[in-house]
Amino acid sequence: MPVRLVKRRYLLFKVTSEVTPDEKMIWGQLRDSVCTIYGAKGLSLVDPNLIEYNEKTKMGIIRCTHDTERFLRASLATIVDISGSPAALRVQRSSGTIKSLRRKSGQENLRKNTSS
Amino acid sequence: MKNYIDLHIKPSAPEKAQEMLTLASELGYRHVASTIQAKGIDDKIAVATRLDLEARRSRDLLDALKRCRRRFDVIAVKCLTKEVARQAAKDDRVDILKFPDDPVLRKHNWLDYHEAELIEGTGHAYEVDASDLIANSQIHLAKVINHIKRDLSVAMKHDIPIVLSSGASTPLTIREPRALIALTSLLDIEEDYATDMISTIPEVILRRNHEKLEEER
Repeated sequence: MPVRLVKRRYLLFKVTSEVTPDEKMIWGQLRDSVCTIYGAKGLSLVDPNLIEYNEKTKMGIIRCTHDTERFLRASLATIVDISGSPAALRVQRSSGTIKSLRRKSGQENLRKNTSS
Repeated sequence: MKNYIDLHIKPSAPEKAQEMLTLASELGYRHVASTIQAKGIDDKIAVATRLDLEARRSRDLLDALKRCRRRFDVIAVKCLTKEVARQAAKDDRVDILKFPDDPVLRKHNWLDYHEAELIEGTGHAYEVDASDLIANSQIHLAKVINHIKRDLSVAMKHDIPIVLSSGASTPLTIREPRALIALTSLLDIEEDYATDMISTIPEVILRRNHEKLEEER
């Protein structure tokens, strides 16, 4: 059975903003935020990845390495604007797998929700 | 579930206060101290009254404390000068000491050993506002982190309780409790202690003040 070497954490977040930012904007802001606070080395340790984002619900799932969840949460907390519009990114739930995160939060695949 | 407490919300208007307190309740806070009171909040959240005093002279601080102490659950003093910081440190009517985040005002003003000795054992707390760590440029943030860390090292050596608050002035600046705890990673604070800073330590302050105010009434 293949074993994944790096453990991950998955965070479900919600964007609060008057505008509707797209996936690219969210990802750019998030990466910049980690880099601003923890630098390039921190960015490589956190290794964030935007798994999915639904523009309608303004909710998304982001991944980081297992022991850097605190750093990612701090980085999300420091985001105060997205493309010049005031915004806040708040984590709703976190989990060790995407499957359990969706089950716990009652969210199905966010992308599927967008297309339906 | 932890009993999370945010001891510092400073809305600009009563309408904002209602929105912010409702949001704080949704985010998992069970107790909030606000500088402006609001009605119509659900009963999941308890709201305490807070007064932020800013003074440059100790005489002004003493006058304000004499006038206001009995009307508020929590009194915090923003120490704009060394003189005020010393007075606030030794005055029993003060609950929380706060220092400005402006590097210019901080140049000759920090939590020093003399103040720490005056505070030691009194139950006064040193407050870290998460808003000071948010919405700052990189250079400003670096300075703020240095100033807070310098104060924290003195506070910890003298067993001064440290409180973590949001310092939010708008709904968008309120963060969930775990985000505030995560932000303390910038100050090299252990996660367990950071959790106490936003739950058990403010709870002790509120309980003590409620008992005091009940006795006086």
